[in-house]
Amino acid sequence: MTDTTRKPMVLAHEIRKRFGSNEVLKGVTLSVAPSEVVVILGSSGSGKSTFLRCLNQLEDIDGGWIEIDGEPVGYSHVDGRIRRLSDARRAVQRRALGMVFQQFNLFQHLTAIENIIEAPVSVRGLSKSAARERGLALLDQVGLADKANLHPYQLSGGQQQRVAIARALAMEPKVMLFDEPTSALDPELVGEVLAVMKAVAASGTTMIVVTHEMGFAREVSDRVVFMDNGVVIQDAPYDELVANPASARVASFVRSPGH
Amino acid sequence: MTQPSRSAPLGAALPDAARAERQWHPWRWAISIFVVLLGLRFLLLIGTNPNLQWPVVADYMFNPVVLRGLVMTLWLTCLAMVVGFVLGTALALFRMGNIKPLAWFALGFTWVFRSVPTLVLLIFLYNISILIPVLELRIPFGPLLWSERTNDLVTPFVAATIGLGFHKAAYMSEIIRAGLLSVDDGQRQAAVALGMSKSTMLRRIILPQSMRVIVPPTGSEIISTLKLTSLVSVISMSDLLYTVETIYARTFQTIPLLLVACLWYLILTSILQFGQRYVERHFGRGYRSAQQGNSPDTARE
Repeated sequence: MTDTTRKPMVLAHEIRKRFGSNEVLKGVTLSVAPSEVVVILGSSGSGKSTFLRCLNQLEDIDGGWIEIDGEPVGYSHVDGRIRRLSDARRAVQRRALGMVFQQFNLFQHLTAIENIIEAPVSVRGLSKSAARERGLALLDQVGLADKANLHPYQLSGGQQQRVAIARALAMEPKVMLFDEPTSALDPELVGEVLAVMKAVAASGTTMIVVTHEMGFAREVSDRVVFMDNGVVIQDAPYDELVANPASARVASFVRSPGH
Repeated sequence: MTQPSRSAPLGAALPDAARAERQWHPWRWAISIFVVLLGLRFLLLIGTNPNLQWPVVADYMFNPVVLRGLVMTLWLTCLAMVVGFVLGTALALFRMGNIKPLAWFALGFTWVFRSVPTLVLLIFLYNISILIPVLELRIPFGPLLWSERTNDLVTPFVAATIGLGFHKAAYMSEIIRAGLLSVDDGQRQAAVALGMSKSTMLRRIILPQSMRVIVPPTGSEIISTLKLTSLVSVISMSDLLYTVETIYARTFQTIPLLLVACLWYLILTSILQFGQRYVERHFGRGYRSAQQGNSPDTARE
């Protein structure tokens, strides 16, 4: 499914990141084609969440190079000179990436619909009515049209995460990043969130998903990337990864129940 | 209960705790009666003591001069709080920002204006012209742009505003900082990930949420400021207290006039406390505790 002739939507080359003396990413390389769905697997502490946060510049990288849709991220490279972009420019770049967090991070003081239209209005400058119309359509898409005027605390975890997905989609991002979107949910609520994510994938959105949900990796992903200790161990379609694990670690991970 | 219980059946022979008799609390009764009697005695004292001169109190309560003093007190409270809130927010942001010297400045400012007693600060500012006779604005080593005699500029009113305002700013900066820190980091991350600029994030996401933490102590600050303004009487600002002082200096009706001032302070603080509750409710939206038990829709389906 991976079309190597097309220009990649996401290109991350040799990304390095350290927190103090702890080197979390030791040169991670990944490219994702448009409309491709990539699942990143790995045990906790493998650096997969940090990698995702580097892609949308929630963390500053220490080395390497990132491009989204051909545009360098966070830095400019002109006439051989590499310069860090201004915070304002970086903020603009982040709009191209939608992020879904493990803890949902819905704005607590806003209702579901207000959460969705906040950034389109205050960041992209859409009119309130246009943003609202589109926001309601998105809520309908995630199956929560009747919850538009409820605050996050009045919603279940699964509903909150679906609103969070709608909120990210409202910015019309080129790429959607999911950081363990179902890990904080009660088991019976995981399915509804995965269903929404499948629908997003089916609509042709480029997605990078950090998850432990093997079912999702098997059914939806085009490729699975296995990370361990800050490096990519294996980068292959799911079936190949299962049939031909690169290491014992990968093998035990894909076979152990509960993942 | 579709399945038969596997616990042993106990029958109806056992008693039911719901039918327990009411308990008798002799100490609660004794203390209640004592306190009520004490309260009644106090009310009797206030009602019957002729030295309180209630008719005089009634006479001066709405006296135009007293009302003018009252307006000045309110105006000063308002100004001090505005200066305090704006400057306090700036100081809190300086403390949390990336520019080190600004953080030091904020720390030093808070330290100085929390340490110096407000009364001393007011008298000092009142006499500032002895220290700095002329205020000048000039380009360093360049031409003079503007100059003014300090005495003309720092009137008692300005001294009072600055003194009270700076004092409040020092306290407000701590309250606002605590409020900003109370907002979960995930909210910041979500805002950043959506491409918000720092100022948009502060205005639309962080400040509205920190208000829930900022408002209750700010309410107490307003009330304390209202009472603090009485200090400006020492620099002959004609606030509520100074006004009644000038009247009783003339008429010797000290107690009734002080009562007039007390009653006004009491009325104003009561109104403020009442208003605070509404503001708290407004900023508490989005939080379970603020709207106990009347959520329109329960969480789980």
